[in-house]
Amino acid sequence: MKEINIDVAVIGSGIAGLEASLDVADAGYKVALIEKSPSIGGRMISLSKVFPTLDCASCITTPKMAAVSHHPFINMMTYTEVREIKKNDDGFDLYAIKKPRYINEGECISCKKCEEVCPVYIEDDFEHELSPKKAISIPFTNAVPQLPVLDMNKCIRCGACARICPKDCIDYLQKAEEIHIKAHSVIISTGYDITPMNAKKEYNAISIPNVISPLQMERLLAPHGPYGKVIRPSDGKIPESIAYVQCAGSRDKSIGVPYCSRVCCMYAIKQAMLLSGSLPLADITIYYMDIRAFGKGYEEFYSEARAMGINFVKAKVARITADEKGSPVLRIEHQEEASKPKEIKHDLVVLSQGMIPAVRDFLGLDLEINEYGFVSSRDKTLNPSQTNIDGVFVCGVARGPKDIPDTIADAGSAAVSAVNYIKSIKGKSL
Amino acid sequence: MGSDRDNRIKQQLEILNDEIGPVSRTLIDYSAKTNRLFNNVLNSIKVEPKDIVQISDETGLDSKKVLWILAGLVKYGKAEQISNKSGYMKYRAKQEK
Repeated sequence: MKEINIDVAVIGSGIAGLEASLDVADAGYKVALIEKSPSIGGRMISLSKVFPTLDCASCITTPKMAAVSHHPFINMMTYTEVREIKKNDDGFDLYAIKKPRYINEGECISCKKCEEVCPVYIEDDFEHELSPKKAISIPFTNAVPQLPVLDMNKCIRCGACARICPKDCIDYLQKAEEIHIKAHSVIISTGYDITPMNAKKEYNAISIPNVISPLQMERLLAPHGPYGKVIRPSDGKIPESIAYVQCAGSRDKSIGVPYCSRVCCMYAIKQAMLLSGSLPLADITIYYMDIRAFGKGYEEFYSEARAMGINFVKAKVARITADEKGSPVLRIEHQEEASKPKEIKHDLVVLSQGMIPAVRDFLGLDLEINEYGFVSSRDKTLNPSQTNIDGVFVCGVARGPKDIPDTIADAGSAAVSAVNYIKSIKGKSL
Repeated sequence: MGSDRDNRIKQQLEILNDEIGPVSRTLIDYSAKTNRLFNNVLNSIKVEPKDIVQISDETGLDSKKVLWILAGLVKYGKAEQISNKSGYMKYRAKQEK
């Protein structure tokens, strides 16, 4: 078993994990950044732009990913899953498995020839199943590291990738590698999932292809998205009428997510503004209960969206059905005026889903989590990044829903707390 | 030298088959069928650009599947999208060099 000694193990490499790793490493401490996916970057690298500045998400995240990959104090461990965490007298023992990519990582030159010749098309999870990829492929354009992964469960073992590889680096017999990481401190930055598309049965999101998730819309809006343009997934039509259904996956006890996810109003407004830029003739409507624009510059952003002609309709969407052409039909009930329920047809509907924790089981670490599965702080007001276990800190959405600026601030807080903790225990041992 | 490499690849694949069992028939059939569908869609747009509804009518494929395939053909450089301001996007096969 490979053994690694470091100061801080950061679990999860979304924007919170990237920021925390860089802050700890810049302070002169050794970091292991552990990521279960083949690339670092998390959710943020797949977003189109960020609110309220409308900066390109990829342009912000990519330099941080590059900085992490080149930092002398950061050991970037991608495609690696933590299986067990044990607390001991000196800190923590993390037992992880580095999954096989079936390539020689040191030799690969990222030429993509293996991907070109592979005859097996599979769903592209990075594009949320909107387009295909090959059974051997680099996860996405700006993935770090730029290394392909062979999905052995989908490989037909034709040998084409191995025969074409100019560096002869395909290794079908590569095995998973066990790694023992010894760390003084752990930072949890495991991020979020979104509520499932079928959480609200009345919205029929699984059976109506033109009812999509906000992350799918992010990909449609992204410059390197699956179709290069915003079109309907069912038939490629350029949508003339797009609707957002707010609180479609949060503030609802019936689906187990009674809390507000804090970002849905703003990402819906952001996407609506981007849509009005890319599809100037389209009508865009946001059906909402109330708009929560609480951050710096958010209210102005909301006002700007209204001024751009985006329709904000205070109404509850009772159900969604589809007409014969697959266009979603929304049954809405206005919240402000007394009127009968109406049925309104749109070309495309986005369900503004909420955030739920990506990880709830911390593999032997007796972390206190709240009733919704987020990691609890020991003191929410004065020491939010400290968990119930000394030496374990939490940041980003693993602690609760938050936007990107709050996540960055949170990651900095966790990094400083981890560094101070290490200083305190090293001081004691001297 | 090339045959040494081919032999090594063949040997590796044989060991792999022994270790984890042969590739399932379902996967082989899926792969063959998917490639046939990709070819059908590509052939459909070789002569003139078409939109997804036209390709769907011609190939008998579900329009959602046609779009998925076209996204793959564009990604791997075999087809291109023709800009359209409204209605349906059109696609055509790229000329083979």
